Amino acid sequence: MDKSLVVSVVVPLRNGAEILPAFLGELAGVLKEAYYFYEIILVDDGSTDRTPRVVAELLRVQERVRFLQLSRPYGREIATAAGLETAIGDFVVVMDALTDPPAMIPDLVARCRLGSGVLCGISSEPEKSGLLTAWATRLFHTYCRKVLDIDYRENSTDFRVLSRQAVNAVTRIRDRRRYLRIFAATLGYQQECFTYQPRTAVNQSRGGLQERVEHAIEIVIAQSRHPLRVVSRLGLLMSVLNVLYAGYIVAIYFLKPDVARGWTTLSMQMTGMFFFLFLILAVLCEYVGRILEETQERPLYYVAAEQTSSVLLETSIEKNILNEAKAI
Amino acid sequence: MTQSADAVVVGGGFFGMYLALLLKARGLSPVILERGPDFMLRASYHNQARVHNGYHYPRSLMTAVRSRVNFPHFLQDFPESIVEDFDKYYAVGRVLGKVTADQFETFMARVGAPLQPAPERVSRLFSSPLIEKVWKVREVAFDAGKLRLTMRKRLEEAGVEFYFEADARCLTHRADGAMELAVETNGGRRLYGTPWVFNCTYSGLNRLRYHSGLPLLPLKHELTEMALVQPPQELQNLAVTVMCGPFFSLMPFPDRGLWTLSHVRYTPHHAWKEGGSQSGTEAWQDAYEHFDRAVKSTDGPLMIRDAARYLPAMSKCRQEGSLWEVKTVLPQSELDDGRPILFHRDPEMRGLVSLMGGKLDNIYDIPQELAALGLGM
Repeated sequence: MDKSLVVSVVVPLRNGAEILPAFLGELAGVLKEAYYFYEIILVDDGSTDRTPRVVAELLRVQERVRFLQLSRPYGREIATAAGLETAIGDFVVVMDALTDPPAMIPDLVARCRLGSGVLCGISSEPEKSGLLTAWATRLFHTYCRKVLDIDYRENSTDFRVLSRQAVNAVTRIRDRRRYLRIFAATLGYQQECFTYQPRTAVNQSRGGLQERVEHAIEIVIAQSRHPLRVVSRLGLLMSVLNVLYAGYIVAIYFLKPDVARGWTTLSMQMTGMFFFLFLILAVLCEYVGRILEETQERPLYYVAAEQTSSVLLETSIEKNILNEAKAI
Repeated sequence: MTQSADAVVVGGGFFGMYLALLLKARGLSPVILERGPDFMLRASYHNQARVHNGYHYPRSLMTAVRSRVNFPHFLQDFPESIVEDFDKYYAVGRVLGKVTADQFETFMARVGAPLQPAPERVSRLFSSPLIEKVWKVREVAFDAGKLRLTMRKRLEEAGVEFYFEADARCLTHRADGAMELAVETNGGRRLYGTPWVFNCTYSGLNRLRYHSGLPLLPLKHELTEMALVQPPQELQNLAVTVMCGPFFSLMPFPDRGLWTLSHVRYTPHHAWKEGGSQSGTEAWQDAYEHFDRAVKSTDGPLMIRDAARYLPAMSKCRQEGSLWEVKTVLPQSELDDGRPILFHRDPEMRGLVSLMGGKLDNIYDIPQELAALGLGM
């Protein structure tokens, strides 16, 4: 293990006042042991509990902690992005204060250093869910892998290690909807996984079927033009079918003697309109897709405050030791 | 035996030396007492050697304007100490910054500080997701070693008396209205009877006040570190400051032939306050004793890492050491990041003046304050 590596740990937080002191103590203990230089970046995503006050207290005690307070809740992914963007380490660890064990960090960083740019955590506990949900989840992951070409593993968690190179690449992505799990997988860096046992059940936050479907739709739409492509192909197909149908109408007009009056013109008008309608829709789909790729230049978030550890005196002053006793 | 002096200047830093020259020019015979073995060994030496030209304070109009006004004076006064063999660039960061590029431009236009867009070959060196815009400006550095020699020569030519390793301990009222200053030297103890004592000891400002039983001035001290680095080839002769937030600044440090890298987040290692009545008078402690005892483990690698995010070539810079010092600021200037000078005449001991400047180059505000004391020309 190389002690001179600089490691940043990003911990997105919302309402973690209870667990924070113990977690931070444990994390700092691990890092202090393993590295000369490290930093812990706590990103508060609009906590409504005592978190800011608890952190303010901890900043007086713990060294090398930075506290980034977002101005309102932006969601976990953006909180993580804010942390990544300000992290300075050679390697950046993203973790959850509740579920992920800090003791694994030195080994994971060493492993990430050996090969891949991204190392991501897989929970060893398959989540408990209903049959339908499990089936739909599996289907979605297969769709991601096969069609969207995203290596989105089942049971993957937010615990991950990114190399500086991967962090630089991720921070260049400025989408408003962010999914680090997906980004990390699509960056083009070799992605490796590790399996670990989370401390508590991970997937409490993922919710039921409806919530997951929404989440899945967001991921697909944010990550891919595939659905739009499908629809635009469909539009093209429909316009082609309309052209064929127009041929059929003309053929009927010439071949059948007893065509009702007005049927031919009415049908021709309708097929003509539908042909253009679907053609226009197909073209629009392509342009909308292109616009989707080009947009999203706005800043992702605004930071309300950044504070840094200011550990004083007792820890940073050498002991005043008298080596001799003096007679008075 | 009590010696008498027209004025005693406590502290042989740049401010003390400059003040003594002013007093001499006004017909007084001041005496300088310096605790250390030579002039300008503390904060006057250990700083970023920047001659400010207004760009550094985009949030404090007063300080920016005064810097603009003082800049040509300083260049004229100390031509042999000025170092200008580098190009200076200011950049504005996109994330966490307290100013935007537009604001910076508006502000500089207001104080009349010219900004030139940086040439392509320079702006290319910066990382575009993190840096909004880069400008070329005129800002110079000074050679602290040469400045010390110049000032000493001027003092000698003017015939100003000065003593090293002379520690001004305690000030008392005398019956005749003058003051008596007790000084410890390595030869023993000396007493000065004087109508004026100018306390120019920067971080030690409260030391004399404490020993004289006077209330402490509210001050904030920081243990600071600047990394001394050798920048890589592609950054040779290029000085950079990123504004205005937790960013870095790279400036030449001519006296060592190296560059100082300071970082708003990593340069202050810890801070302590003294004086101030709002939270009860905080106990006094000798700032330099605190400094001597504090553990100084470098954060240079962190400064370099962060700087390299904005300016990737910085990752190749080599750290050669660090400059450690106590930096002292007035608590009220924390908010707007301004650097006013303190010129405080004691309400009780009317002859005691405490003088402190946050920057070497704002000495030009002193003469009018002296005039207000009746010491004008």
